Amino acid sequence: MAALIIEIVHRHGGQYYKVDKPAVRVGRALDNDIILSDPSVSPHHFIVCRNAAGQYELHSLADENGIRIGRRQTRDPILLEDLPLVFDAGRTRIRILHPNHPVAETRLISCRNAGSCLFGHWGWALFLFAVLVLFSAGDNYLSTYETLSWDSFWSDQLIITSIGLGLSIGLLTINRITSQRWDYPSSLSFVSLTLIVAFLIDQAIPFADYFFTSPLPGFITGLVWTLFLIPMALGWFLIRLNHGNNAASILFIILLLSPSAYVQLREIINHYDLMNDFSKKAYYDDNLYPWDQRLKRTISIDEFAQNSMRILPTVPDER
Amino acid sequence: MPAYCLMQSAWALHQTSGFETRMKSVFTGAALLIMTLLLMGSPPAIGLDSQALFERSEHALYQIRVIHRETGKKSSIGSGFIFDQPNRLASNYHVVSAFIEKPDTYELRYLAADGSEGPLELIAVDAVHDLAVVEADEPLGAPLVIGEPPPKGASLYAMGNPLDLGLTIASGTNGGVLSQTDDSRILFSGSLNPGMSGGPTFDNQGLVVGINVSTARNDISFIVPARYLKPLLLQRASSPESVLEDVGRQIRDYQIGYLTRLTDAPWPPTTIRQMQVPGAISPTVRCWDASTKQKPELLYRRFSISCKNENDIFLTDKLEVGKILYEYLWVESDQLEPLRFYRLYRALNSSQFGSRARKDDVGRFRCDTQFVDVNGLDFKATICARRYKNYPELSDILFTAAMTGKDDIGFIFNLDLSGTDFAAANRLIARFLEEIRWQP
Repeated sequence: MAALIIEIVHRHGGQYYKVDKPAVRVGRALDNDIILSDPSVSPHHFIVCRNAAGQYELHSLADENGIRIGRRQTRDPILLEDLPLVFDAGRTRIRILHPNHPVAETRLISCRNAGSCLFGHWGWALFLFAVLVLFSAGDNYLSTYETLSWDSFWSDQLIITSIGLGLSIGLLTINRITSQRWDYPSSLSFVSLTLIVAFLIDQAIPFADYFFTSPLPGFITGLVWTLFLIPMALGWFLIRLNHGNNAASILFIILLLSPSAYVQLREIINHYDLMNDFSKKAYYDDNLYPWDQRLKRTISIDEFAQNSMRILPTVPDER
Repeated sequence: MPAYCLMQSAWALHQTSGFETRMKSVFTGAALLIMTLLLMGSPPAIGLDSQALFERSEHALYQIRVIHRETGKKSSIGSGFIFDQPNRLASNYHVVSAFIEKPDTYELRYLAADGSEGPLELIAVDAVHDLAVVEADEPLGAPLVIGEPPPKGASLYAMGNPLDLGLTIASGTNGGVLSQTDDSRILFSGSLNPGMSGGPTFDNQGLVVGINVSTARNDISFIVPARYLKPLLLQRASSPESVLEDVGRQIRDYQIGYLTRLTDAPWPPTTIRQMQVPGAISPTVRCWDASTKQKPELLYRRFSISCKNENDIFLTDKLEVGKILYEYLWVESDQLEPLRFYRLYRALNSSQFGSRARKDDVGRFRCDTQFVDVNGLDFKATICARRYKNYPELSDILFTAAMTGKDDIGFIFNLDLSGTDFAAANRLIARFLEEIRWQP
């Protein structure tokens, strides 16, 4: 078993080297045990070696840009007792880890795992993003009631597309924080697929609301989507697929979805006036749909007038 | 009718203070004086001129003050005149409404031209016609005599205490009874100002023919016919709480009568594209075209008619009731696909109730949505209602109905009724639906 692990921290993750011999030298020169390509690193920058007592020490060998721990530069030997030790050699971040320190797992990019396949290739990412642009253009078209022009259609489409890209970059950043990886294709695929499903649901909800003559299908779907499906999908993406840190991933999911969940719950509370005995606005089912399919039958005017009287109980004449 | 009540609140007085207030007061007073002097130059051919009227009647006019019990300062002011008995004053309901709503917070007092003052007791109110009768605990003078308004065009003289500047008289002419207000308002071409509410309006014989009530500015003012004071003599409130109940009942009874008359009357039809609909259902209702400007780039056409009555009833300083507002909206397109057209149609189907009511005033809306057969057409119809907290006899009602089943034509009917009787409103709604017909 190795006595220590040296991690060279990169943007895409870390490179790990076992220290299983008395001395390991690190630098830019080809005769080092670990070779760094950073020009700010000296040919022989530092060495990790065992002292007379059998403990490992870190010695700086650099003429310039020596070893910095935080902002403090040091030339003295450092006894490697309290691990992990994080320091900078030139512009390269190094971590010296305990030998049983867990190393992040490798994410699957193979299509043998069908779920992962969509999230590992630029091809899938670009395809899904193209489908998203197509869906959003369709939705944008359905909401444009004048001749298509820059003002009425294309400017909105540019904004929608930018939002899709912005969300994918946001997810990329979160993924970087939680799993130490820069992996844009997977983020783009995930965001595209999620928004495509959202567009499809958005088409189905008005029909369901009209069919049941109630806003409940929309409310329930919205809540399930926000409180269950999206957190599950995000959790799968960050934790299972990208092996992100559990606590950080869950925190991000909560932070991301809380505003949306709050707005939806607030809408339901307002609609049913669950919290107060006053409503400034009348909440009713104003949904209309071209295909007149519904559960409620058509009633006569007299029947409607009779039914209407039920919504307000009659006030007795004498209080 | 613009309901700019002439009661003057202390808050309004305090909006301008110090030198600015004094200068405004001086200028306003001077303007009123100059106007009065100018009008005095052309006295009526027969009868009293404004100077004689003023001298003859000033003893009978008092300022009515709503005083905050804790600070002892006036919260609002209006005018009143001796009526029926030496210790009784007539004024407006809206002058004393703050006291009716919060009798523990406010009290009523009078202030005479000579500076004497005393407490007042509320005797009766007519919220529908915006009238009130109060009583002092000692005789105040000889009552003024009530008469019928003179013919249209005849001179009228309004007295009151504008802007707390002192008693004054403003001349004008009788513009006739306003049919838009269910015969409860007379148009007066004189200038009424805040603080003159509740003051008398005389004819040139010195008879009180009306009570100052509101103005739309620019010498468009409104008075209530004085004959509506007589029924108040039969009432006597046992307590301020019973007045509150009276107000609710009065408005409800009036609304039942008003809406029943509307429901039972013949309605002139009008058309909006292929739909025959009721036009102005009463002389109190005015209809206007409310269609949006048709831009060439739009792939649909939209037409709209909006109708409303001018029969608002003052309830509180922030709330007027009795409003009827209805509109028809027609939208059509031969260029939008059904799914696209219905996105537009759905966006247009979003009627909301316009009101300044707050949580202290009203409860929550309860709604019911049904599909209704309207002369062979299916309409998705929703009725929503919420009750007034202090006046449970009254409700705000929102009704909306959208035609369904056509791919390229939409028709929406919206109706709002504020502070009315729910059952009577329901009958009116049913009548509306019966009158909506498709014209092939």
